Amino acid sequence: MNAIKRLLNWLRRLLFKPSTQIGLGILVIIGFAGGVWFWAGFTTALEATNSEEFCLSCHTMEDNMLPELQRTVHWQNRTGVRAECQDCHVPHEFTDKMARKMQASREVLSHVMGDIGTREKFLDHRGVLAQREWNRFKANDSRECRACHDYASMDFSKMRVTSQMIMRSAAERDASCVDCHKGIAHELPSMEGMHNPAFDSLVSEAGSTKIKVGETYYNIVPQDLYTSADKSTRAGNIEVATPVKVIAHEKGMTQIELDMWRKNKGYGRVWYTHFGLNIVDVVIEKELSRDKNLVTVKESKEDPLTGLEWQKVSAQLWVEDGGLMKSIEPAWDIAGQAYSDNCSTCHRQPDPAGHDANQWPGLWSGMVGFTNVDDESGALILKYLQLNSSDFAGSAHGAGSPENTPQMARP
Amino acid sequence: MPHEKQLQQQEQPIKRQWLSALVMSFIALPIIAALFLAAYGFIVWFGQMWFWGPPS
Repeated sequence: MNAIKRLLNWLRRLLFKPSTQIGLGILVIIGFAGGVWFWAGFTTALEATNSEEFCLSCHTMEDNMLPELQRTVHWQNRTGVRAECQDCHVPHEFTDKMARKMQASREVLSHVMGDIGTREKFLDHRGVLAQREWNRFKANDSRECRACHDYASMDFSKMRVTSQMIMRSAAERDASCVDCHKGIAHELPSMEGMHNPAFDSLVSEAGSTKIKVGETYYNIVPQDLYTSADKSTRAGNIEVATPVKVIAHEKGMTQIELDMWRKNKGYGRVWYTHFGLNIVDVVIEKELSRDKNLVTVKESKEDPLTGLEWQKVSAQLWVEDGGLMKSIEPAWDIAGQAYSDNCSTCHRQPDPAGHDANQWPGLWSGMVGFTNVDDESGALILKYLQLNSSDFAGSAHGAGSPENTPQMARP
Repeated sequence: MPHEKQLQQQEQPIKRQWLSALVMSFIALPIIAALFLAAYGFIVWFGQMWFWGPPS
């Protein structure tokens, strides 16, 4: 208490007691010089931490980022203008810049802990890091790119014809650069076998869903089906986004009723929710798929397009708790995001309603090899596309427009 | 006498006054200003994390 009082007293005297010997002018000059000295130091420090040398002084940057950047047009090109780390990765405005500089304390911590200290660790973590930067560019409309690049100054006629079409329409929409040009200066993160963290929140949301008998739910993670609650016999598996009706719920297991369609051909293992649409919802074990005790055939109908006979089938099976959700919308949010993130890297992604549910699987499997989407997300995206296709959206826009033409080459 | 004593107590030697002025304007205040700027940066960053999202 006494110490605080003394400190306050000292401060009061320092601030308010006039100097008796030093002239006012001299004091002002000293203060002014101090201000200049501070500002010079501050800008010097800001500049010094905003240079490529500074970034590369960490071996993580030097080992991983530099060699990748050196292979791109942003390192060396015919005009001799180049982008350095900070040109793209540090905001240019004062407030955002200060926030980013302070955010770097996290990177210092990560460096000390060695989170991405080796190439392997870095590659494992790259998806997360890239997503963070993509989100930033998404939010600020690729402002750092636009410090140099400007739609208004682009001479479209000098572009390749395929580029022209896409760039003109991007300019019209004032599209954010990084929406399409991901991986422009570094390699894209490999998502193969990687887990999409967005699923964790979905699964935890499903875990807290209250299951009520008699209601319809959506399956949000691919999981096993069993013939009984004791899980002794596996009956097959159920895919993501399949609607199911709950008929019983006990001891951590849920009994569901499946009312679906199958093609009356072969084992008839694959079941579909919608007649005539190849949207795989359930796959039954082949020993059980023709088992009359398990599967009831209710009606038969011929698909006029293929001439195949489709059967309406019904079965009551068990799943573990924690995979069902009342609404499918949260899953569609994730799928929609993943779809636009991955597909827009090369071309503007077609509207899901631009194709029908039976066209999407072929298109998807033809294109998915060019992306680095993980299997889990891939399955969800395909479902999303099929269930939001023209068969469901009831419209025919999108297809065939020049923008939907895939452009394979990335600049 | 009490008046003189008071004066003595409050009167600082000129050397002390010079020192205070120089230390304040060249060391203490620059450090305080830098701390304020850092605090400002942190506040904006945490705001971005919790409320506003990435800068637009």
